[in-house]
Amino acid sequence: MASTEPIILGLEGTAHTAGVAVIQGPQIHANESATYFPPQGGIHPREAATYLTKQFPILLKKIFQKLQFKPDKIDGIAFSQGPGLGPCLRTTATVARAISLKLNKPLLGVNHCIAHVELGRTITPANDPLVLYVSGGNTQLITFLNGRYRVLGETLDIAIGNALDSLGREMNLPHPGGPHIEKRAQQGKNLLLLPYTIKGMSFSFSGMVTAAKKLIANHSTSDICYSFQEYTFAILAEATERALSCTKKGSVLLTGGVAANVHLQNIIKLVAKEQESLFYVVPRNLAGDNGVMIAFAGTHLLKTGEIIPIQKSQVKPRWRTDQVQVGWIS
Amino acid sequence: MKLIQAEKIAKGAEAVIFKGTFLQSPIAIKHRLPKSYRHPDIDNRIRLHRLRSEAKVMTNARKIGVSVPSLFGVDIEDHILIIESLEGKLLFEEMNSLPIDKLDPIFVNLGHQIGLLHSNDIIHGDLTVFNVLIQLEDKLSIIDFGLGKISNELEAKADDLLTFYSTLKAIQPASNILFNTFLEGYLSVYPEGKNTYEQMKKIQSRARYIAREDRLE
Ligand SMILES: Nc1ncnc2c1ncn2[C@@H]1O[C@H](COP(=O)(O)OP(=O)(O)O)[C@@H](O)[C@H]1O
Ligand SMILES: [Mg+2]
Repeated sequence: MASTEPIILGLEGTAHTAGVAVIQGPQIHANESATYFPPQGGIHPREAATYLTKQFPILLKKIFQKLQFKPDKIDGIAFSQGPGLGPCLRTTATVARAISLKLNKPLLGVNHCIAHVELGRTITPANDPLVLYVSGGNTQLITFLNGRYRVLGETLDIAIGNALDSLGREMNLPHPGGPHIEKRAQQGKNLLLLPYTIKGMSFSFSGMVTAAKKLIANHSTSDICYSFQEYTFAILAEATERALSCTKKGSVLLTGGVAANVHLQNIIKLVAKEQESLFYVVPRNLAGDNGVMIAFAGTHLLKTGEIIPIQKSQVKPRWRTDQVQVGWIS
Repeated sequence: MKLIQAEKIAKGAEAVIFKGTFLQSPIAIKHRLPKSYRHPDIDNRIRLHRLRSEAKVMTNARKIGVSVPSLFGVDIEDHILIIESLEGKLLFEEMNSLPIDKLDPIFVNLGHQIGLLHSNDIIHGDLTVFNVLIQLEDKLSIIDFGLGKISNELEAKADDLLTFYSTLKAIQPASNILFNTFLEGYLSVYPEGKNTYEQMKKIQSRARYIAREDRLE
């Protein structure tokens, strides 16, 4: 370990994924995660929290077995303090506090959305990008302006990942529906009519899900998947182009679970080209929620001295992206 | 002699703008180009729809005395609008250079203009500081009506306010003061706008609440 970078343990647990990782600078020493898939319907916060409670000890054990060094070499414990589901956040915070006390290492409270951005800034060449963050629980256009990450546009109702999953469920595709919709869409041939609405740089998807569900009785699953992706991704693309044209950022970073969708990647790549900008996407295995991103963001907090005392480490279920003090970018 | 002489001057989010002269008056030619990233059927539908909306909404806005460039011509086939070319900088650029007390009268006037639009059931659809041109001091014009429509729906008017508020907040730390100034102007010509503002806050808190729990169901 020649690196002088601090070693950070990252704990992710805002919704249905428990993630644990140990990193040092851009290097990933160990990374484990487990995701809860409800037997049917959406996520129930309590059930997800119970799942996380069971998973964290298992994942931590695996992580510590993999490390080439003793846990006391770790310099900081980063955890997802928010936003997310209250019960899940509380579980994660409890685990983080326990490790922090046991190892006597500082606690670092990370904003989950910003962690997705910092992941991209650490492992892709993107430095000051316009970020399209697409996941099951969030859909936002984020960029750094005036000392903070600002949300230029976002969903006014459900997130794109949630929209895909909920349509998938209605078509009896296995959960989570997103990847199955992506696959089925490749066989789609006919573009069916769906609403297209954009409000400045913001958008909403629940009306589109409702409209798509009405097509199920009379159209093939692949045509519905194809059309739904074409419309929703076109809206995301347009919002991205608007934001890019306003901010003149010069690069776009695609991040979050839905960033694994290759069709969306290709579309956003074209958007970047329209605005003469560079395109970056996070690697597939780190697109979804994970401990690595929390640890990367935690590294910045440790370096800027933003350590939180245990008694001030309560979770922040509604913590907004633009509420975070960003001391590590000038 | 060429009837129209034009050169490309700006690239917006959607369109390319050429400036030129037509019979000695300065014109702007707004051309909505096809986008490679969306299905051609969606693309054609949207571009046509927006061209038509923009022409209609601009015309209506001008009729009721809102400060917008005048419309000279529409070419449906080529997706082109020919409009009066205006001097001036975008409000966004002015915000980076002007002190806040110089911005005050601009925001009051903008509030007046939008109040006038809304009291006549005209929705802008993309109300941001990137779609307002500042001419002299507080004289301004509103542009880019492609997402506009005629509607008396409270929700649509509230969306205008929310779009304006959100982009303002994203780019300007003193956004609350400026937004309140805008709101004063808005309410002074459109007292019923109280309800629009209340509705805007509702949409906002709905989005926030959903951000927390319901987005994950
Ligand atoms: N009437 C006009 N006079 C002068 N400049 C204009 C006019 N209309 C548009 N522009 C310039 O072109 C840019 C893009 O125009 P806009 O109508 O906002 O299209 P877009 O939909 O691409 O944003 C504006 O930001 C402005 O700089
Ligand atoms: Mg514009």
